Amino acid sequence: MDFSYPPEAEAFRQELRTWLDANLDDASRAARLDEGDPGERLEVLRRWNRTLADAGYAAVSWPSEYGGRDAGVMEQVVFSEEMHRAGAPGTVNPIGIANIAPSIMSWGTQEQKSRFLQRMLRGDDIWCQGFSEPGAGSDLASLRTRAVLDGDHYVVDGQKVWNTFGDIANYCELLVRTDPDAPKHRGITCLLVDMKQPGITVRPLVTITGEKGFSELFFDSVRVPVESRLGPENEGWKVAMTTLNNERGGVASLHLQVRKKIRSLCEEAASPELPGGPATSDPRTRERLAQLYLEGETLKLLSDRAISASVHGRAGPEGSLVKLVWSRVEQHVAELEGELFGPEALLGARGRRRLSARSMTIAGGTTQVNKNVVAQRVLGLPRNR
Amino acid sequence: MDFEFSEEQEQLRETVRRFLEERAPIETVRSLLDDPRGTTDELWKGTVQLGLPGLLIPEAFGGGGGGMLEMGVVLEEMGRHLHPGPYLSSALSAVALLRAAGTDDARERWFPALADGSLVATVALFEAGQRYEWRTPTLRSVDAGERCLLSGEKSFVPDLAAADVCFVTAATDDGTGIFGVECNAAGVETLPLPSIDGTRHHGTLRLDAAEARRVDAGGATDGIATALDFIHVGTVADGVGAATRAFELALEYARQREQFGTTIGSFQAVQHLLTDMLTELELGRAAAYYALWAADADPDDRRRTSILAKAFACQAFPRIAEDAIQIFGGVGYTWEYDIHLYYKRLLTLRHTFGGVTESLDELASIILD
Ligand SMILES: Cc1cc2nc3c(=O)[nH]c(=O)nc-3n(C[C@H](O)[C@H](O)[C@H](O)COP(=O)(O)OP(=O)(O)OC[C@H]3O[C@@H](n4cnc5c(N)ncnc54)[C@H](O)[C@@H]3O)c2cc1C
Repeated sequence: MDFSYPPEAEAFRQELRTWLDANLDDASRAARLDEGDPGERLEVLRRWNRTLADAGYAAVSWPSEYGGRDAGVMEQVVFSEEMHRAGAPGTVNPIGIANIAPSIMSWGTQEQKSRFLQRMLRGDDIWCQGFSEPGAGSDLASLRTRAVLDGDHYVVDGQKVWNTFGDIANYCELLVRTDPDAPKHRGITCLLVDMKQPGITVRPLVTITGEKGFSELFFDSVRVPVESRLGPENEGWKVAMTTLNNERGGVASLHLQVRKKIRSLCEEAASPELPGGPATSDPRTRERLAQLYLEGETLKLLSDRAISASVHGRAGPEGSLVKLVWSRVEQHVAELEGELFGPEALLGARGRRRLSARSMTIAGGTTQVNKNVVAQRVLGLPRNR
Repeated sequence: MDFEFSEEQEQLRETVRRFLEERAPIETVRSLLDDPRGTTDELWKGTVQLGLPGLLIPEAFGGGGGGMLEMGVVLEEMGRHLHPGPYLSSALSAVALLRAAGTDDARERWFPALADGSLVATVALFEAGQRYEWRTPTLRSVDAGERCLLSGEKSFVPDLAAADVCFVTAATDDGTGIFGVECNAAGVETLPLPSIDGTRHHGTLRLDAAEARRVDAGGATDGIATALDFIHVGTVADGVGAATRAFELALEYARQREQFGTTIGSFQAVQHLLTDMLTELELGRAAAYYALWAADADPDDRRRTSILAKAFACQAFPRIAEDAIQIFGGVGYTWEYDIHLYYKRLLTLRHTFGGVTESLDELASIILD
């Protein structure tokens, strides 16, 4: 065992740190906080995104031919650590860069790659993922949004839901049904859709925090040119799996944020400003903080094992477990924060944090579905009903 | 980021595994359940032939000069095979205590015989009715010229019946000290203390003006705490082995047992239980392996990582065995099936050398104070 990072990764750390010191301005740093006017915030973040892209830091894991830097696993880890350390916001296009781009790279035509990837990288286009429907969530393959070929266009009718960034995106990776008679996984096609064209209505949905979070998308005879199809017709399920596998793969540094929350919770608990005085003299609170700290640290070590497994080519279960554990720890952080602040837990940002933690065991595949996947793919148990 | 064991360490694992599979299979473990020694001359000789008792002892004393990663590999295999007997007590606990708190003299005296396995040792840190408090022993030492005389009682001494010598903590005029006591000396009485776990044997040590030799040079408390860090990591590594095997047995059973016309492993309730068990197991494994590494490689972080591993394992590992018993159903509650033996081994982990409350307390003072 050796927990030092390879020299190339450390060299990259130095380079990035120097660059961040020189380029990260206060406005960009502050734009990450959920305060102020969302429109203005988006403009600041876009500008920062372009600065990142010009320096080759907007998508470090991408191949250099598309403007990335071919970063290996350890350099990606270093990138997350340093951005986190500096308090730097990431790209405005997290779903596009991490999830959708890998699908375009493996399934897209040359024309699609040059048309979309560069603009995605720079934040000129913002992408969303139109997968879930009112009738197709966990059972995504039962989706019903129809696309019928009419000359050199598909005509799309249907509805998508829970669409993150739907309100700001101008492109969408959309899953549609092109063959209603085929078995459900075989009749799906993936389209790259311009959100600004006629027939698309975006209606923001209000989440349990009372804020606009995600959107419903309505498609009414929307004409999508055939050359916007990603991958072959009726093979959209495979394209979607490329996207979802990348969604699940990028979890190795999730622990950075949640451990920071745990550290500040420990500090807040010791503060004389805490309602009722410092809680760190109460044995029960001490025990609960220690327990939460234990969860955060073991999550980090599990993530490190997952990284090591991928670096060393060892087939291990760790990578499939990180999201399950992370979402649980996030919820426990929110619960203990509530406990520490008593009735004030119901107010303002604290109250919103408590509520938004509930999304973590739902978004990106629910905990239950995740467990099915582990049981069947990792443990080799039969499909359940 | 290299979180993997080296090729040599994996070879050591193979060697130990083969030895235990051939020489100490589950039938042997079962035959020793009521034997307070928990081992036979032949089995102990086997570990000596593999050079295991001296694994942590420097080569200058005839030992193997290995570190905690190697020790962890050996202990994980022993946990996996529910190996009874005094290996952990002699090769880890006693050696760690001598290393952390012993004088040069003491090391020269005991290390060579511990290294070649001719001597089996254990440590006596705890007393009846005191839970896990080891800082304030009531057992006392009285100076008697060259040697000292000890009187009092120690409880829950691991592998006492198998030990030739016991390193005992005692109150002295200058604070807590450590003393070597020969188990067959005058004034020494050893009594078995049979617990629910027959794969781990404990005893009560009664001393009545027993002759003893001082091991430390005064102010042993810090050294004892350091030794406990190593002991925690070792017992957790043993726990990783036992919990892994308990999980595997449950998974195998879930694949093969049929009810309602299908294997129980196709029921979602069972699948999710197994997934939860796997999750806890892998979290505990990661914590244990990191603590093994840090024990030697990052002494400044040793206390934190060892207590972290201990606090996690004490909670998670027995629960894995509990869930395993649940998956076995009725047969899981029988003496005949082996799963209860793993549960008991993991309860010993949970309830010796410090419990959940103590571990979390200690962790809290590291992060909050
Ligand atoms: C904050 C947030 C952002 C999101 N962003 C997007 C996005 O950008 N694009 C997008 O396409 N989607 C997005 N989603 C949708 C998300 O992927 C779905 O909510 C999720 O897959 C679950 O689908 P569902 O909501 O229809 O719940 P359902 O599938 O109806 O599940 C309801 C309950 O049943 C359980 N359940 C379902 N099937 C099984 C089973 N086989 N075994 C056991 N239990 C089961 C679930 O675990 C859950 O508890 C987002 C969701 C959230 C909360």
